[in-house]
Amino acid sequence: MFAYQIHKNETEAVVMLEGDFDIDSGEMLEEDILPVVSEYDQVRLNFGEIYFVDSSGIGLIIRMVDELREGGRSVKIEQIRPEVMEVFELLQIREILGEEVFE
Amino acid sequence: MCILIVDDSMLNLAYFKQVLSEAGYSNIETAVSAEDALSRLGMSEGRVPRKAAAFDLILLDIVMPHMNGIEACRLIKSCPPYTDLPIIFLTGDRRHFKEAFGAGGMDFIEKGAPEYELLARVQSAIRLKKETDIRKSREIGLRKELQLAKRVQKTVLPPPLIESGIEIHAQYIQSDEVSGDMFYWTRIDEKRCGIMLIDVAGHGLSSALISMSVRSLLDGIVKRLSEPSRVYLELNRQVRSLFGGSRDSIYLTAIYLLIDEEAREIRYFNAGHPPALFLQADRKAQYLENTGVPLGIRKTIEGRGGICRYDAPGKILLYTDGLVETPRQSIRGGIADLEKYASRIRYLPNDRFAEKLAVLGQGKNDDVCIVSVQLN
Repeated sequence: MFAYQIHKNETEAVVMLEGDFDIDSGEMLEEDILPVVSEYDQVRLNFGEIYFVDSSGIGLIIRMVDELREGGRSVKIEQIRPEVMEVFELLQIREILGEEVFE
Repeated sequence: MCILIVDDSMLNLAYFKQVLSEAGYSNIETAVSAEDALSRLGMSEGRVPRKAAAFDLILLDIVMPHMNGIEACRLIKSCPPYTDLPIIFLTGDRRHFKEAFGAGGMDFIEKGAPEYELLARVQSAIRLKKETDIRKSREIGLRKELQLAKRVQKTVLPPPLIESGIEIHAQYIQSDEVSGDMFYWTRIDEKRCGIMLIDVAGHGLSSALISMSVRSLLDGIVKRLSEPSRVYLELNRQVRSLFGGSRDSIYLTAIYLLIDEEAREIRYFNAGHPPALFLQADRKAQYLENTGVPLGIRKTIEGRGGICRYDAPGKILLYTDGLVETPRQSIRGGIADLEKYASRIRYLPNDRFAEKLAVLGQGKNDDVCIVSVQLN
């Protein structure tokens, strides 16, 4: 299962994500979430309800953050659960995306 | 197309047969009892025919001596060749309906109903049967194609490498008919071997197509460039140029080892796989950790890699993430369990070692691939 909600104010979009992040989340990210949030200067991805990320999900996350930043947006990922943080650490996502994404 | 009418009344049989014949249904058979009908279907005395008799529809009376229509319907519908054969009940009594539908009847015709009603119901039942038959035969065709694709995919996998200095064995556990997991190894020269394990994001046919096209690049890249950092950069460039124009996210994780038996060293890159385990002699496992971004995501990447040396015999275990991850559970826990088990059986012959580990991968939702390298 994968679901999301977007809260917006003038400059910021907060995406509340929920469920399992794998290859099947890709379509929703690309088609529903990215077009909406790329209108905002700051994008916060809230991972508080993300319980599982696999290697294909990691690819999606890197791609999404890259795309937003190429468009000049600032991106943060927050409230990562410990079991997901383990996967991030194993695959060195902090180094790949840069510490500023996680501050 | 053939219709079987079952009724103990000769008068009814003649009437239905006549109405249907006049409407253009030429191939009609009749049976005077449920037992007679079962025998036409090759089901007398509880037999299960291997092939279905060529009926497209049964019109079945309910009230008959010995076996009634409802019991006959239940038997026919539970017989595998006939689960899709539509049965329409002929009845004069609505009290039978509930039980009749419960037995697997798809429709009913009240005796004495006008002819057009009979014909309309027969026509729609036959149309449904035809559509089901077409869909089923397509499914069978598709399944055969997939099995063929699976065999084709397996033919590109290398056979075990068994030499005095090095042995390589692999295990492949597929959740789909075909998958995006793939392993590859080759001898580069007398002292060096290149070994790669890749996992394309996603499942099924599209992943398999991607992994096959990447496979066709590997021989050239590994033999020409060999060095992990150069192989990493070139493979990323090639994946980008092959699939960069796609609007779908196409990328893959890969781990590659360059083993130098003379220098007794292993150089590697790990792009998105959980750490490979290196079990040397009786020492604690070494991890071949992640060194970079999965392939195909970024245009510009850094060609980093890792190195480790060996002075004693040991095994290196490469695996795809399906082996150690369980949704909502700690992946480090999964890796620790794998490490504990692999350490315990580390002295098994290499092929047995890989087989034992493959058991851990069964029953997972993901495809799982395991490569074990024995260094002597």
